[in-house]
Amino acid sequence: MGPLIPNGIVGMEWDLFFALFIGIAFGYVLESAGFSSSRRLAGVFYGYDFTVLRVFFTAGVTAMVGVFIFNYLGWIDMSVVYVNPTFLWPAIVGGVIMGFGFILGGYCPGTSVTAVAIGKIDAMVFLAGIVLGIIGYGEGFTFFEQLSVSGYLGPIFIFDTLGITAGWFAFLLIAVALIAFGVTAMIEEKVNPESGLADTKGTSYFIPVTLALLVGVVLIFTPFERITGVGEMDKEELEKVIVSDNHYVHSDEVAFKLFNDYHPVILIDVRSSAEAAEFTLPGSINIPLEQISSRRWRKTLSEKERKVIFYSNGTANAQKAWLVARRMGYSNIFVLEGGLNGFFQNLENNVKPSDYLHESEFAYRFREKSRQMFREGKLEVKKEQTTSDDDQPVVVAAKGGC
Amino acid sequence: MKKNVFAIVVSVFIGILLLSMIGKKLLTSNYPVSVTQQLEIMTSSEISYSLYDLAKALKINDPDVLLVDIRTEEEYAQGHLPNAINIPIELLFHKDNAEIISGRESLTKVLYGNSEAQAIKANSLLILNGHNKFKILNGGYQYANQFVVATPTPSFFHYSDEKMKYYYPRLMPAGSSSNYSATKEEVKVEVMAPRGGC
Amino acid sequence: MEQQKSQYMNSYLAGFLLGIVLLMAIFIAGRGLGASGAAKDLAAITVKAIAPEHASKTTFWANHLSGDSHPLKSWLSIEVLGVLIGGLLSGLISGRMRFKVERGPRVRVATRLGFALLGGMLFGIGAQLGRGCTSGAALSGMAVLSTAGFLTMMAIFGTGYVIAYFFRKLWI
Repeated sequence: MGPLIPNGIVGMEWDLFFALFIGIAFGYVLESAGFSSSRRLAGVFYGYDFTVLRVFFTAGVTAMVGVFIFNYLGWIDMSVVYVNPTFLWPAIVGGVIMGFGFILGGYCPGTSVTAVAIGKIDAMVFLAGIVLGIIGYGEGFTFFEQLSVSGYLGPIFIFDTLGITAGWFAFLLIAVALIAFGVTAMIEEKVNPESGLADTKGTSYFIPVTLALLVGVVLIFTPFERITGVGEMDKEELEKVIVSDNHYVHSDEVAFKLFNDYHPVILIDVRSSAEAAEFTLPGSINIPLEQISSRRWRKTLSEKERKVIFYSNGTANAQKAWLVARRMGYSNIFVLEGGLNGFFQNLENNVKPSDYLHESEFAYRFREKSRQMFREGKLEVKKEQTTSDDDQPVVVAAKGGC
Repeated sequence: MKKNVFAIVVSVFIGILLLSMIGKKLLTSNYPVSVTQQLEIMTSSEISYSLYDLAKALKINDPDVLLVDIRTEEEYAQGHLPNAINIPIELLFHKDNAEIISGRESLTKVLYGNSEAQAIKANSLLILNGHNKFKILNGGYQYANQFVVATPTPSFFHYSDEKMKYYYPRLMPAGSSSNYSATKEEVKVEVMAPRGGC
Repeated sequence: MEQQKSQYMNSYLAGFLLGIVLLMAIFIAGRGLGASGAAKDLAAITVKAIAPEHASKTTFWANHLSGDSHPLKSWLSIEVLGVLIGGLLSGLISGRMRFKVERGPRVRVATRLGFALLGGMLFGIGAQLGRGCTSGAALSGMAVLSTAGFLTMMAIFGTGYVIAYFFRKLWI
């Protein structure tokens, strides 16, 4: 399902609209929490106002728990979400410099914007400073360049770095946050007893604290794997599907759809690219079996309107592809019964029916005609765009004449 | 008053999330192998048990090879491979068969059915429940019985469902096969690359 | 002083809402929040306006200015515009709109502004190196459990605590 825009569920036209909307929400909350005041922000370093810590930690933990839950329930594909890569040295050095910037300036970029919005002149100067700083960085980039790309470790995760499971890290982070809230509330009380920050005290926090810890404990047992499919199927359901066995498509149906310009199927040749290059059914897309799980084919295999039909020489490899595809959550997948070998044998061994059923007679004549069309090479291959979107795969469809 | 409402709303929200998570956990079981692992196992060469291997094993009456017929009891009764035992697909995880399925690790356990595809189905169910060591006979009962047991035909021993390829020229005019090559178009990657930054 | 109690939103509630906003950003757009990137867009167009040839010749600026749309039409710049609007809305509703130079009681306006400028410049450089600021790298990084996020966050706040004493005159 998610993330909605990168997965095309919500169109790209909405991208900037959401950016604006999210920004507005972001700015509103920041300002309402009092982050538009440099003195309030600096308070976290001097003990008289720990708002920054409370907001920051709560926000980070809330979003993290949300990501965890969404990932587990299959609502978001984390492999598509941006995870900021770790460049060890510039992260540390940059962080230290930003620490200086924070203490001296009293803002960070996001908060300074909200402060500018309500008229803080020091914030405007701060913001101008940021722009100047970046210009300076850009002009002096040759000086910074080497540092800036040093220590590249890739988009690694904190729990891997620490050698624990994601669930344990989540629990520990929640616990640390709760302890920090308690401790800083006490410090604030001592340093600033008249601050009137009474909203951070009180027994009414007992329920949320217990709940937070409970969530943390549950997360310990929750796996954090990044799903690659559309939404991995439930195991018991998959087992039922496997046993039920009604995912086969007869070769007549495929032949019929090939020879009429009406093409409500997508044919997938799951053999190697070498075999597919030698011969393949007109209009097929070649997805070698080993690549079935690749993200590249997600759009193609997610097709809901047209049947997606896997085939190979026999049925074995198509069957394997079908098994994996169904597990990954693609639901509209079928297997060509008998494979290519069966397909052609039906056409060649077309026996005149001895019963007088209308259907058998029709099938016989249809197959005769199909064989003739293959023999005469009458199948034209027509290129066709499925939709006008640029990021849709190009599907080549067959055109036949009767 | 405001504080209490806040606490209650947050609690309810979190509670519902918790319940849905727990509910899902209770109703589903986790897969023992990932998709990538499953695909790797299913496409590895070790999972194949050829008719040649079968012929060899039958010839010396190999005690280390166990043939498992996954078809129905009636089909098994009508004819099965020598020394094969019958475990219909629906009964793969029946407690009576647990000893064979989970145990006897030193044996080479080979599944066969009416077709290789049917055996693949049974094998996938086993893999999904943590049993990765079963092999699949290349070919179904009919082929194995005819070409290995009844009339041993060595030229057929390396048959497999996928290795056999239809001789296309029989059906099509000479030189026309190139009309039907797979689409060479680069299928554009449809998913946006992750973007982010400061 | 008593006014402060009802003036600002409860910080836990604010944090929770902020977390939800961040979660929505990740769920809808596949990315976290950010702020310093917009400043880079501003910097880029400033450089281009002042010295266009230099901008096109320097890789650092040329890379950022490439692409068909105007640099200020980037996701981050629009988002930061939203932050401005959101802050304005909140300020209007709560009556906190006022031109003022916020500073500690022991420091003069000029000093404060000087340090604000210096602080901003340092933040600009640091954010470029750290590939993000507190919102972009630290907060969003925390949400997706990246090591970079936590590393940057600890560096920022760790440094702040270590040097806070030496700059206390600015604030207390």
